[in-house]
Amino acid sequence: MNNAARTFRDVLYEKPGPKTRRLIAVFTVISVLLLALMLFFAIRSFYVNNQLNPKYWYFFTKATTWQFIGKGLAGTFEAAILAGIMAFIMGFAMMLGRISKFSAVSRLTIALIEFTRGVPTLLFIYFFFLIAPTMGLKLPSLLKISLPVAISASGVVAEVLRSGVNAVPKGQREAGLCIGMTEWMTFIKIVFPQGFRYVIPALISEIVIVVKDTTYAYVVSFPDLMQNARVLISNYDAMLSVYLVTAVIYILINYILNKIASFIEKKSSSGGFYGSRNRIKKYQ
Amino acid sequence: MAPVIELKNINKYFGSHHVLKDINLSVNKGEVVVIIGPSGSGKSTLCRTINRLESIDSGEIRIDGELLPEEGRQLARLRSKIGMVFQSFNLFAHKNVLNNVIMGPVNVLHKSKPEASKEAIELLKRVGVDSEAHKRPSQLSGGQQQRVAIARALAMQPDAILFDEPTSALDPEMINEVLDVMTKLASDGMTMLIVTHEMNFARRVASKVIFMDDGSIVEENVPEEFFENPKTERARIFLNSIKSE
Repeated sequence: MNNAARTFRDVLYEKPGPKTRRLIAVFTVISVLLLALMLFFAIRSFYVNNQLNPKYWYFFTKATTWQFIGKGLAGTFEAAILAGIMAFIMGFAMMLGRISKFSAVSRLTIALIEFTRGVPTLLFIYFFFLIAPTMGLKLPSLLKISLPVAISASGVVAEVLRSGVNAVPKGQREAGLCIGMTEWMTFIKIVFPQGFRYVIPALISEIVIVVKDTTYAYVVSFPDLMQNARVLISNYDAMLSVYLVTAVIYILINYILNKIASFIEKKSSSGGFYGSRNRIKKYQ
Repeated sequence: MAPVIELKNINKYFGSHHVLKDINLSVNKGEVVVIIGPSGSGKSTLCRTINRLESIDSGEIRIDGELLPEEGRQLARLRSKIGMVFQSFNLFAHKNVLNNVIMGPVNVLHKSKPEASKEAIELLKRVGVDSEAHKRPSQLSGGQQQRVAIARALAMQPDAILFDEPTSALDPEMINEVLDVMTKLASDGMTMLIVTHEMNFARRVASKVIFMDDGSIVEENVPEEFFENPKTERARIFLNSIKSE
């Protein structure tokens, strides 16, 4: 199958004709020129404002700077992965509650989901940072950042998972029940894995939000990438250059996340996870 | 010996619509019972009540003499003794053919994967799709998918298999490959309950024909009698209406 080579453009539009091809060419030239122009003005304004001065950039040639950035990056990964895992577990639990056949459970969960989705992450952080300690709950700083970020994402995760589960055709569940599997086993083995696959792109978007939310780490003094960037800024008195580099790193992280997502999607739809042809040959 | 499937005074409503009216039916071991009737007569619903994919409002269902409960492990256990083949195949879309077939044996019968796989390949050979074992359902033709679905049902070593219009979603040239498999099953002595519109097939394999109309069993007869000389007026009208097509 050459489906793999199909792009979104092939799916969304018909094949361009001669007139459209000309238009595409024109717009390509215009947008390249615009981009070049923007870049030019950006660099120019850096220059005009003396931001290209080596004193703002020289420390990027020092290994210690990158070590420090690397440490921050490790902190970001630590916080984001922990938050992601907790958000998934909480989201999964809330999804189960939301689709429960007991309407009391379902309604309570809806309230919980709305609460976690509606309250800004920063408020959850303030709660665990400022209020929880007065009530005797003292968390390590890693948890002070990742727990509130996870809570804030969990409601969205729950709704995303639910939409995936709902999209699985009814016959899949029925077929599972008919071979004698219990409701729960059918859900875990048949319905959820398929629903999960449908929503991988939406879940990755949510992970991107989690990664970005971990930048609140500076509030609780957890050394993540953003926090370390702020330290660099005050050490070298160089704001713009450091923020620029930091932004590029965050963009790279999220770009890689998206690449991983499409890899997983391809992998899971090509059958690579399951019994390969060779394994089956053994039984033939 | 108790019948494999026994329905007593089954009634079911969809809202105010009385879809199953006092149904009594039993399927004995080795019997092939074919249910025919106009669309909307309740035949599919009846088929789906037998393993409780549809609930009933009154009456009782017995599998091998055991009362089918409304929920729980006991229900799952009885369901595992009755196979089901759907109109729309319903193969597990995220699993390849082999994994579809071993899903039940591994998870319900707790067989080891190698053992289940060996048996699965044998079953796939029996229905003629063993060469597709590594493929995803979406890569198969409808006829192949339905034959895999039959193998999946057989893998549970069921006491009976229900077929809910197994060829209605198939292209004409694929209908026969599925009917052939079913004919072979019938001659091997499998107990079957089949809802179908394939009259020639019904005539060939049925040990008993059930004619349903408007939620009731109107006529129960042996196939030769039913197709040549139906006892009821309604069956006669129905048979004439499909003959004239």
